[in-house]
Amino acid sequence: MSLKKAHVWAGWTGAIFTAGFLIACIPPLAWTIPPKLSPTSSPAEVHRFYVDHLTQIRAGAWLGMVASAFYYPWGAAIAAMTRRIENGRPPILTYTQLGAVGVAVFNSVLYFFWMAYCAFRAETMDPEMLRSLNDFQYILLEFEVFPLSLWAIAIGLLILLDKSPKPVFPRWTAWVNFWFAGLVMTGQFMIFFKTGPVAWNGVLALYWPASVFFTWICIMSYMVIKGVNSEDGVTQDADQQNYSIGPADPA
Amino acid sequence: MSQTTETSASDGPEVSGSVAAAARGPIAAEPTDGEGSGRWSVGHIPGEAGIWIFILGDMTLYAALFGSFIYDRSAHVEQFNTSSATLHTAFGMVNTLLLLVSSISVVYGIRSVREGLNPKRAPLFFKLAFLCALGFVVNKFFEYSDLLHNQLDPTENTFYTYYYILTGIHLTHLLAGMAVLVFLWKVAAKPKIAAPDIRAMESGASFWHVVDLLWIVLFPLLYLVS
Amino acid sequence: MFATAKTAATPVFAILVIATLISYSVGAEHGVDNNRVATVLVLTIAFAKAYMVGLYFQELRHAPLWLRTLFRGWCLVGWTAVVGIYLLG
Repeated sequence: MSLKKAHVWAGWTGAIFTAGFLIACIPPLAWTIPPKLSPTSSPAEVHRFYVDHLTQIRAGAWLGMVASAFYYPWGAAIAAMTRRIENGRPPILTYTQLGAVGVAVFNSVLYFFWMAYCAFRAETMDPEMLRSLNDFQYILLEFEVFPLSLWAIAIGLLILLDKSPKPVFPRWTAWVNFWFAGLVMTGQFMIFFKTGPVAWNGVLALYWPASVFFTWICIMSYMVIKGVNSEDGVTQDADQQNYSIGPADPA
Repeated sequence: MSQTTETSASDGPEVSGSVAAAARGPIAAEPTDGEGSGRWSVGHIPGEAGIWIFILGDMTLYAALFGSFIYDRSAHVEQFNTSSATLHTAFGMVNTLLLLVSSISVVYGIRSVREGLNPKRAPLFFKLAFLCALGFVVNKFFEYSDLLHNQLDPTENTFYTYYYILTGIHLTHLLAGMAVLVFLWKVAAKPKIAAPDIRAMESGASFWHVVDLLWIVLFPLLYLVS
Repeated sequence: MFATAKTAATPVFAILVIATLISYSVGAEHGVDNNRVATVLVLTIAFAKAYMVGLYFQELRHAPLWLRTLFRGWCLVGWTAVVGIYLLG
């Protein structure tokens, strides 16, 4: 396997993460998308759901944990590729992305930890407590919004600032990042509602942000693959061919 | 998607051309191109192509929101009608007019710079648009505080949830748009305006018009449907 | 000033203002007796207005066909969905 091939695979991880995460969550596995429960479900209903689906939920949590691993090569790949745009200057926006990757991966991992925890001893757990554990599962899934937005803004900003004749990513992808950053935001209001479109089982808290999020992941995943493939000169001087050393723009 | 990149790549001469060339853009670009590309990609994209991904993506969210609002309405017709009646339609209408005036001034502002009609007056047009936007915010502030004074907050019922979410997201767009208007006015005040500036101004103006466009649909949907 | 205003956007602006006032009187003062007819009318006017903002203010009428088609698609889908769900609901 050449280094280039390994990098192409790093690009594919975004798509793998998307597929794994979604399969883990939809029926017949964990059944959190579309949710079988709602914020208004009684403790008994929640308890019953867990007891009836124990194995599926555990299998979903397991698969989701596997999928979450593929999240960080994806994030790292984008950061590494946009790092070239900051060539010669302190890589501030690149490091911002790396910080964001850490937080985002931790969020995804914790979500599946929590799912596994809910299902571990559900039969004998107090239904009231199980319900609140289940609520927290959805808070983990939907409430982390702005940290993701800022990450996408950092990526988009770098793409816009790329003045190279052979840019790392096409310019329009910057707008995909801004689109994601702005529009994923409907989800975070889920903590205020128990019914309606912004409650955790609603369109604005779950389906819309999830679609925007995975569309973003898949587009950027494709862009990493394309970017790695178009980088024909895998020589040590590759950076210098497109980006001079030292602050590039005198302005 | 590839269509987008191709187009932005193929209209190179306009980016490198003079202001005058960019000024002729919409008219000149229309019928001339005879080779290959066909009707599909001939024409002048207002601003850069990428901004349209953002704008149309943004409008998709709103289309989904409109649909979901009207769908949930059918389940609670009574509640939606009585709640909608508590809104002050006059606020909504004045805001529609304010945004229309701001939009037309942005159109005039862009025209006076790009067509070279009256570049000195251009910043004035953007300032006027900004003032209208400010009026919208003040108006909205009174409207929200009036509702909240009557204990009508987002958790009251599904209608108010929608009302606050829809107008709230719109308001964030409007505030972002006000920053864009300041940018337009700064660029318009530059002593020498180059072709990339024109392009950036068109991008900004296109975004500002979205703020107007969405409110035009939001206003009747929230205030007038019964 | 006059040269700046010499564009199709100016009459469009006038039409939009008039349409806003008409919608307002139809919706708020119940100029039309039947609520359903009034609502469909108001929503149709709204999407037509949005369409004109796109074409004349955003200058999409000079834009490439792919972009115009996407925008028209949005207006058409939006209008069909909103009016359709309203009538069926």
